[in-house]
Amino acid sequence: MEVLDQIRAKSPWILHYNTGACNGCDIEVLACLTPRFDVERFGILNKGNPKQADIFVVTGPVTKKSRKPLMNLYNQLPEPKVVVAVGTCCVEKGIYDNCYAAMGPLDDFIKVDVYVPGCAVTPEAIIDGIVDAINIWKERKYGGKKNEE
Amino acid sequence: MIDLTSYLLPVALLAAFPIAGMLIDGLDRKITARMQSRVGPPIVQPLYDFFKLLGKEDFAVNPYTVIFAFAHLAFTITSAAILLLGGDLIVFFFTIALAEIFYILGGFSTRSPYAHLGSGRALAQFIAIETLFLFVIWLMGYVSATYIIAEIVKTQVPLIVRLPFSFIVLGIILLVKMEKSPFDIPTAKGEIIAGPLQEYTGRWLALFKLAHWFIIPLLMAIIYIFLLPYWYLGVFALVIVFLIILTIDNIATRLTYQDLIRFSFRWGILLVVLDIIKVILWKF
Repeated sequence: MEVLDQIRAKSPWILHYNTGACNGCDIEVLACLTPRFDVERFGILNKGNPKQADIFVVTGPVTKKSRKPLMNLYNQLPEPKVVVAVGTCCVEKGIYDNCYAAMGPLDDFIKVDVYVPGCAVTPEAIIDGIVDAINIWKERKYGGKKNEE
Repeated sequence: MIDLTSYLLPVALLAAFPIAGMLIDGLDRKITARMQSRVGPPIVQPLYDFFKLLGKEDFAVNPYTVIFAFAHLAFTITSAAILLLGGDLIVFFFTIALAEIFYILGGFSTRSPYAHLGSGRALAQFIAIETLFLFVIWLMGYVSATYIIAEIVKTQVPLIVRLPFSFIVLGIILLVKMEKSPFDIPTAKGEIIAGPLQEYTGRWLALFKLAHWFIIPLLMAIIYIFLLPYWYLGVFALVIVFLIILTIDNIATRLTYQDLIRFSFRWGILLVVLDIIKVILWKF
């Protein structure tokens, strides 16, 4: 269904989760929704609900406390889904390298599709990354396979 | 032999209802965006969302949520059919209330605390708003001396002249049902995430979207009936009410559900009582 795939790409809903970042990247992610950048014009909505989201936007290094909620959220996202790692901390631990609480970058735990480096990331870079994520997401099909726990 | 041609128009209108609801939803998002000096999504954006949801993985936490989703949609379509075929206003009220009950039960049938919180609030909203709605419907029937919708729309004097305050109450009901600030209580965005729809994914969520596209034009149709011998005034009133609701949505902050109950049982009932007094004194 070529047409349905085209339509699907026009309605990506985002779940934003902070695994223990300094909040800088989170502010930039939310800045994308403001009138200046207005990602809603591409149909992108910031959904707080993992069960209704398509793109998982994660900021920050994975800490001991946030690992379990992260896996929970990831498993609750319905297929097809895409993961975007936003910020240097999320991509390769960044300033949290050797920190006692930071367990590692995001791709140690879940499969990451798009990496958006930067400290803090600019909203333009986030939008770029999400557009890449949408293109990956468009190719992905849900073949009736149940979500792996 | 039943004359089938007389059913053609209602059936066509029934098919047009979700399309109208979708366009209203899209216009709502577009106008809201323009009010916040954003560009906003295209007007057919809700349709994109709908088709995307159909293609997503759908895991239901238990079978009851799916049953309630279908029941919600079925009773919403039933009430739309009753209205379009010119049925009984009281039956229309009960079917639309039953649809709302299934929406609330859908939230309560899961174990999510967010869904429970949202359903509890939806129940409070149900009590506050359906009471007013029942009063308005009773007044509509009382001044028209009939509850049959096909008879009510034949009136010579518009209902708004007879029941001016009920018209305001209907506007309030529409605002609450569209889940707009200050009364977007059940699905308070950013507060309890998605309210009763918390556990719904994929096509089960799409069912609720479809039902919502029926409910909003349904309530707008009641507002339209209030202006009826003059259909152009009806359309004009709908546009004005819609714009007023969007303006209120953009300038107001969210209130609590206690505020909604207080508001509806104090000011809503006051408006209805003013109409009752007017009907008794002027006798028409």
